[in-house]
Amino acid sequence: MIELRGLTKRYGATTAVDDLTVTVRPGIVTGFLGPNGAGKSTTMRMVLGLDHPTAGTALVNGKRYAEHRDPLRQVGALLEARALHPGRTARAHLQALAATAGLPRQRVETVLDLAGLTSVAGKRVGGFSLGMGQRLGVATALLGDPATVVLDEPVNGLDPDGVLWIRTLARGLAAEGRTVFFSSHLMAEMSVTAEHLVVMGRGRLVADVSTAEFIRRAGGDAVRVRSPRAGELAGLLTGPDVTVESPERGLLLVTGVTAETVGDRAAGAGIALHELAPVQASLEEAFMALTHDDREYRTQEQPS
Amino acid sequence: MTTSTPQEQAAEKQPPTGGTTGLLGGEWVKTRSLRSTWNVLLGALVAMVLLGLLFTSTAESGGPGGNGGGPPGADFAQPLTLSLAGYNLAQLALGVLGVLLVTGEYTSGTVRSTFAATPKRWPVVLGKAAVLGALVLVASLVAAFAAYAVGAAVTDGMPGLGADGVLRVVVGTALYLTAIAVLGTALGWLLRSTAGAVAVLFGLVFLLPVLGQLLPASWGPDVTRWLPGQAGGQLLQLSTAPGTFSPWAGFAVLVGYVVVGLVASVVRLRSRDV
Ligand SMILES: Nc1ncnc2c1ncn2[C@@H]1O[C@H](COP(=O)(O)OP(=O)(O)O)[C@@H](O)[C@H]1O
Ligand SMILES: [Mg+2]
Repeated sequence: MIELRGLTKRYGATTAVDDLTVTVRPGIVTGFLGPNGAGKSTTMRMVLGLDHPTAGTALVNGKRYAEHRDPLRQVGALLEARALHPGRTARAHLQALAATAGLPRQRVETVLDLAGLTSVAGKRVGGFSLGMGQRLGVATALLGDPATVVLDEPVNGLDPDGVLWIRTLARGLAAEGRTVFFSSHLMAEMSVTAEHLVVMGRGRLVADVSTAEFIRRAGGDAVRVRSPRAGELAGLLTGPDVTVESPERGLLLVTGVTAETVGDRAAGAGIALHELAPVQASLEEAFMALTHDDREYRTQEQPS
Repeated sequence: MTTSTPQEQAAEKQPPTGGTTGLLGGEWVKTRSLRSTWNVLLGALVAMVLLGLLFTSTAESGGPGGNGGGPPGADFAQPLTLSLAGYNLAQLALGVLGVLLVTGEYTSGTVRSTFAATPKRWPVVLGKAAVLGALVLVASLVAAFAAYAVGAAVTDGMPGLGADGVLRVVVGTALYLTAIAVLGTALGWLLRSTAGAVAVLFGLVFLLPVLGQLLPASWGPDVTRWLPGQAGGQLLQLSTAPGTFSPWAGFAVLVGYVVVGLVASVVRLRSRDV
């Protein structure tokens, strides 16, 4: 569990995080979404006690991070910037932390295995690819078998296999009852990984909703239908919660029904369809729209 | 996936942190797992012994080059001083080693996982100082005795270890080098940049004493004797000149620099963002 209360961080004139109040619950993957510069990484560093808040508090599992006697067992983190010494082997990197935290030596082998790094554990990290470094970062995060896992842009630099691995891992960790806080600037990534979304723009909270709700609000269940008898079809689709728009002749944008329903109704009435597609792109668009104002403001503000 | 094994669950019942032992163990793993640690250590100490050999074996001809050149401040009539004079170069290498152990954490970013594991931060400052200090002390004791033995073998007139002050000078050389290495860690914490910390170390130990010679003779020496290298170097003198620190008082001044540096590091780190 992560509880942020009025969390604020200013660097000189820049307000990186502005009065953020959010609770990140255990048992689900919470996506932390926002464009670059929104303040996600800063927030996560404050959760880890690395940066000191200008105002407000960040509690993890009920306490400030620094107050935990066993921090690595409470919180495991993969932070944005790579944090590995190129001259050290993967195993030595983990052993040093395991020794400091008083973790059993076996944990090092367990997480190396979990990250698929056993065969390169004795190699110096300097020779690792971005993806291998990221895997070692995840292994580091899980070293203390922590109740709360913080992952800052974990899919950056990963190949599709790696992305799938992280996604499955994050969901698995949540299913074990852990708190998983997973940041990304990519809506598409979040929509398939996270059950709940915390959306930030320019340091401020923009949305704190379930992913399903976010997608619904974003019109993610819209269906695009093209038919020579569009007007007739529109009449067949009416109902409560259903909206039908016709942005151009022969084209309908329908929300509140599935593509299957539209297809079935059209077939039932013998109406030919030239196109029938769920509208996926609107997700990214909704995210952009939500954070648009903040983005604009940011570009104007930057030169000062 | 990450479900605990029974062994791990048993371990869970043990104290939740590694404590002091864990902290020192972790710092030791970090120190020993870098090849550069061993390269610098070995390089510094071999150079120290070889320089001692060079200075002692050429002493009769008036030093390397035959014109009495050689390390600044070396007394060519004193084989003990000559045999250990390589400490001058070794201190720079060992000071840099201390700097690198800390700034390497910043340049690589590992400082974030280090401080995540020890959020109070100050134990890391002390733990690193202790681990590096112990390592350098052991290695430079070996090197100091080796340099002494090599010097004794190639020159006549090397005073025996039992003679007045000789053991103190040999052991003192190792103590001095240890203090400089630990001072390097403090400079690393305070400046976070390798270049900056090395420059300050170089300035304190090499540059300021030279600049100090430009000061008026009436009060200049009173100022320069407080420099860390000048004060600590007293421990390496068989007999100390009037108007300078006694061996142990001088070393205490050097230790004072180290303590101030470490305390300043702790204070600075407490409030700083990583
Ligand atoms: N250490 C720092 N010093 C100064 N400004 C910073 C620092 N860290 C972040 N910022 C600024 O704070 C804002 C938020 O950055 P960040 O938290 O990295 O956003 P995100 O992770 O969402 O991309 C940006 O404008 C960034 O330039
Ligand atoms: Mg970021």
